[in-house]
Formats: sequence, structure tokens, C-alpha cells
Amino acid sequence: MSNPETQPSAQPGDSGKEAGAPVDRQRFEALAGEYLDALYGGALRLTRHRADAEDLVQETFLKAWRSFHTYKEGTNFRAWLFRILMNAHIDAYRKDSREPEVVDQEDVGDFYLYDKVLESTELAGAGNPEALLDQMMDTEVKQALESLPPQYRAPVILADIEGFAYKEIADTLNVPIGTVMSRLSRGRHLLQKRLWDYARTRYHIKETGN
Amino acid sequence: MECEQVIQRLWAYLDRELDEATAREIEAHVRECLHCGPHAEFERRLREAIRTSAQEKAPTTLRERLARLLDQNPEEAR
Repeated sequence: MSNPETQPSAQPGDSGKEAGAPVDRQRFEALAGEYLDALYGGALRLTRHRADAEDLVQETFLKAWRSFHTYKEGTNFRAWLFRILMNAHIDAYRKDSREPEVVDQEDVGDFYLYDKVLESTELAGAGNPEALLDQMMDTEVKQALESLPPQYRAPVILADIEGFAYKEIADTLNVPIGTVMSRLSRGRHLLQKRLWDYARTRYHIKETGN
Repeated sequence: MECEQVIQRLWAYLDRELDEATAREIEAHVRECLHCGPHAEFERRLREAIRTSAQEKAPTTLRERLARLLDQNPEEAR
């Protein structure tokens, strides 16, 4: 039995069942249900397959329910859920395969995509660099994200899709904050490179120079 | 702050990871600067595009499966 002081004292419409349990379940379902789409989205980007994503969400959900009593009222429930998701994913991933750490190739600047748009005669003429973003397709973005090596993909998902702070990402992934920043940086650079590859194909842009 | 320093900090600024004073300084610079402003705007739009493109809806079958899971594990949180 845990933190009884945080249990809601009563919920209307819940009488007739064993005291306590239905209230917990209602709270858990309300909280977790709200973030199910986000969890599923994260799981899908991580695993890249719908069936695997569903399994990962199910595992996360069950683990979260089992340790719901350890969740501290008033702390970020979404961050707590994602931490469980990431741990479950890392466990499965370690069991499954040992992909080698991806050695970083040539690195690019923070504004690689923007710089490329300005450099390109095909696009710069349009005078609106954001037109490239408007043309970007959802499937391209998803593919680009999923093409990132796992150690870079996770921080990008947590920062750019879920909007977590560096510190929260560090806690979620169990790595120092400096590691989060460097992996996030590499991940975003790689993502921009992939998106530029798609854009080049779309606009039939021939790469000159680098 | 010079453009070079602003550009260096722009990601951290957009990530809301800077102290308030620095963030305000960058905000003011970006608003006026014809070099840094478009950089910030492009990056903002890029992130928005990434965020919205990657949105997913959990399948109904999954939601149903999870509800059944709780039925099977009613006492776990006790």
C-alpha cells in the first residue's frame, strides 16, 4: 500500500466495487489515455513497425500500471510514461540485436537545410525559403526520422516531437545532459541532411560542390 | 550580442534552454536582424513541420487491448 495521502478520497459513481482499486484505475486510465497517441507515435518512430510499436506501448502501459503507486503526484506524468517507454525499448533492443554504435560522418551546421535552400538557384529564386517546408510530405519526415541511428533518434523524438527539456530527456534516457545535447545536435543535423535529400529529388536539384 | 553568437545560441534559445536574460537579448536581436531573423523563422517552421508530420493516432484495437489488460491485472497497483 503506498502513498495513501495522494489517493482521491472518493469518486462519484464508483460505489459497489472494492474500495480503492476502481479509483486508481480510473485515474490511471484518464492520465495514461491522454498520452496514448503520443506514446504510440514515439513507439512507432522508435520501432518503425506498427506491430512492434503496439507491443511496446502495451508493455509500457502495463509497467506503468504496475508501478503507478511510485508515480509522484504533481510531477510530469508524460515524462514518467516516456521514461518507462524508453527503458522498455532499450531492454528489448539490447535483447534483440546489437547494432554497432554509428560512427559520425562529416558533420554539418545547425542551419544546413536553410543554407542549402539559400544556396540553391532553383529554390532561392522563389524568395521564400519556407516554401520548401510547406512542400515537405509527412511520409518524408517520418522516413527521415526513422532513418536516424537509434541513439540520435530517441533525443530528437523527445525534444522535437514531445517538446521535453534537455534535463527531462537526460532523465528519460539515463544519460548526462551533455550527451543529450551532443546526440540531439547530431540527430538534428542528420535529419536535415535526409530532408534535403528528399527535397533535392523533389525539385530535381543537382548538387554542386559539397 | 553579435550575429555569430546569436546563431550559435539559436537552437538553445528555441529549445527554451537559455537563462531569461540571454533569451530576451536573443529575442530582441532576432526580431530586428535580417540575418538571424529568417534563420530563426525557418528553424521554427522546420520544427513545427517535423512535430505535426510525426503525429500518430493510437489504433482503436490497441486502446481496447489496453483496457482488457487492466481488467486482467486489477490488483497490480495495490
